[in-house]
Amino acid sequence: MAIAALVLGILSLVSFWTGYGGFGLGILAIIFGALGLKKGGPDAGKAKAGLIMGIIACAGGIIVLVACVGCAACVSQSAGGLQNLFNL
Amino acid sequence: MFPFLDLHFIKIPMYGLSIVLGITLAVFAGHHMCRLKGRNFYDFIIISTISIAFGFIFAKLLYILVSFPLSQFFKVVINTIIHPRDAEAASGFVFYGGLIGGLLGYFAGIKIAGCKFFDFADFYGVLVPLIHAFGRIGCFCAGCCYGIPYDGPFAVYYKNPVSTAPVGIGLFPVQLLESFLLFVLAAVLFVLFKKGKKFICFVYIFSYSIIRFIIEFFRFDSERGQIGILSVSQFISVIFFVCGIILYAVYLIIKKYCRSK
Repeated sequence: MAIAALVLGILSLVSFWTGYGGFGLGILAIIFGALGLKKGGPDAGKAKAGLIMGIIACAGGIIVLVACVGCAACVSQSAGGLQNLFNL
Repeated sequence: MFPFLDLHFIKIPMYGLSIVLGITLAVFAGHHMCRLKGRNFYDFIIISTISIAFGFIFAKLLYILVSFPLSQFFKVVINTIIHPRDAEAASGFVFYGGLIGGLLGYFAGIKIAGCKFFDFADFYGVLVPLIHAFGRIGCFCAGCCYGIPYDGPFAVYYKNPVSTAPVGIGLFPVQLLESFLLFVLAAVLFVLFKKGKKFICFVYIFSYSIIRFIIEFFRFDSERGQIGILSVSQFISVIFFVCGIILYAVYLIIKKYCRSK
């Protein structure tokens, strides 16, 4: 459980900018991390790390993915793509 | 208003940022509430995470259902999954869809965490309006869910053409009004929670349904559906109001019956 949380946390953090990666994998990392911490034991540190990474990735994923009209998606299209959105 | 927080090296969408701030505050509040009631905070995290995931999915599904012809529903859903940042698919959520999804997620979450239904139900009666209030601030910043044309005090004039709100026309600040009412509702329900009142979740359901029914008369955004003379959200508000009243009445009857025994 704890190792799963850690792996999912790392993957979610790496892919948060895709929206789904951060949100979806982050959700799983948080769930496994919380289950690992609830269970306790020597792997609690890994579970906590996975949980924290999942939370950060989820927050990033929500900001990227949750686009009401007038937010990221529409503006990124009208502003010429994600590169302009991030001033790249 | 200002759909983005421009930090020069990155532009952060205000709508997503508002929701993240709301969820963050709700997690801290939830931690405090877990200590008050002696509940396991990790159970709260598990249940909340699953509920939020289901909430987002169903909020998006209901938005697609009310905004597109029924014949195109599955096509738009698949397009949303494949192209998440496509303008048509990405824009918009319906709160009631999120509430229904969150409720389904709650059932799944309590199963996974190994808890009973009423262990955490009242927590969300307080926290959902809190998160929602922040979400409405995000709507105000992004220029969605805007109000009817209005030129009186506190009228809002959107200047940024990327918002869906008509530019240069005075609009009623319905997002801020709803946000204010939700903050008040969250505060009142938190006081009831601290006092040990039960089934605050039902009180939230029928209180918010009244608020939403009235607020809908002040909304003017065009992409919402209608069922007869009522908007979709008003229709759902009526259903939630009746359900909330019935569930609370059932609770009072059972409580009286148990006392008499």
